[in-house]
Amino acid sequence: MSNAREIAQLGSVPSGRRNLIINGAMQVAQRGTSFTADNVYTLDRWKSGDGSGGSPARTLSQEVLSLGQTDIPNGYYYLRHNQTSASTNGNSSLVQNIENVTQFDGNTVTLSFYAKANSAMTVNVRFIQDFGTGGTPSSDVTLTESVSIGTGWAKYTVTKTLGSLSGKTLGTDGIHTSFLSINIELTPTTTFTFDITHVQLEVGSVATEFEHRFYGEELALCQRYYFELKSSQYSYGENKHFNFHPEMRTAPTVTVLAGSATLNRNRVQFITFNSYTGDTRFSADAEL
Amino acid sequence: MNEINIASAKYIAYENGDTFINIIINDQELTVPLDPANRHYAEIMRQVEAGTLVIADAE
Repeated sequence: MSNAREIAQLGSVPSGRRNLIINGAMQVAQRGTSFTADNVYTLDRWKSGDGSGGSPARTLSQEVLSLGQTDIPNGYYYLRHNQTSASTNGNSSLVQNIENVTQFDGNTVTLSFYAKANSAMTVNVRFIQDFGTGGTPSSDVTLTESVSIGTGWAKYTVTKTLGSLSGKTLGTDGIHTSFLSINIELTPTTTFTFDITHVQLEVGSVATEFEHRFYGEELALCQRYYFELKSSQYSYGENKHFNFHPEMRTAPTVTVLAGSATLNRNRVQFITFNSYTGDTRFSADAEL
Repeated sequence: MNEINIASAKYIAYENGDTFINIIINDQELTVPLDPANRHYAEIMRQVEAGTLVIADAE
């Protein structure tokens, strides 16, 4: 498609930041680059969810494309889902939950992504409006479309008109517990590999060119949901205070990954430890 | 299922008034705030209500 034609088709679509998916280029990997446990977050913001019937054995990893490749314009990283044994108890999915369902009030949205598999397969792309937690929120609203994935890199698009929020009830825990879930269910129960990158969700019915972001901006977007202190700069002592920039979505779950520390205060903007050893590393998790 | 496998849970209370729940998942200790918007806290409460998890009192 020519640029002029694409621009003409865009019509009144606003310019500026378009992609509502975070880390669609699979470049931010605070938790690491290879994962085997099921139902865990992998590359930033991407969860490997279990299917309705169980949890097939799988490894997810960050991979790189060959320099100079032309299949994916300006692509470098991708996420590989490798189902390592035939599953008898259900399938799994790649999930990203986009905070605040009120951003999606009856909008037409388009999801696009590049993908390939080691043999042809079907994925079920689901758009799930979740109205949060607390009280009696409205039930989820789900739209689904099946997509046939081939063995070579190709761009796939799915366009849906989401449900209106009129008459819906949000949970009492606040809009930051509500979300639109993009759920790509991988249907084969055999062993397979599925590769994906340049995932983009945008308002409108046209899949525009993938919006590239600098690593620093993408990392900052990710750190609202997960932060990992890789190398402690603190000395031994008590009452070590750590500020989050940006503030986290909610007060985070804190895990000491190395060293020793005891959490004694925990907020969306900061945490405080006592009995902190100098080599302590930690993670703060505020994912949806 | 998307259930989180929580091996144990225990309240931790500090003199500053803050209270957390320490949980064990995959042999790792996580400190969870009592915030319903936190996904681990929400899962803890779901399992408590389902009768599959008991939170031990603070020492």
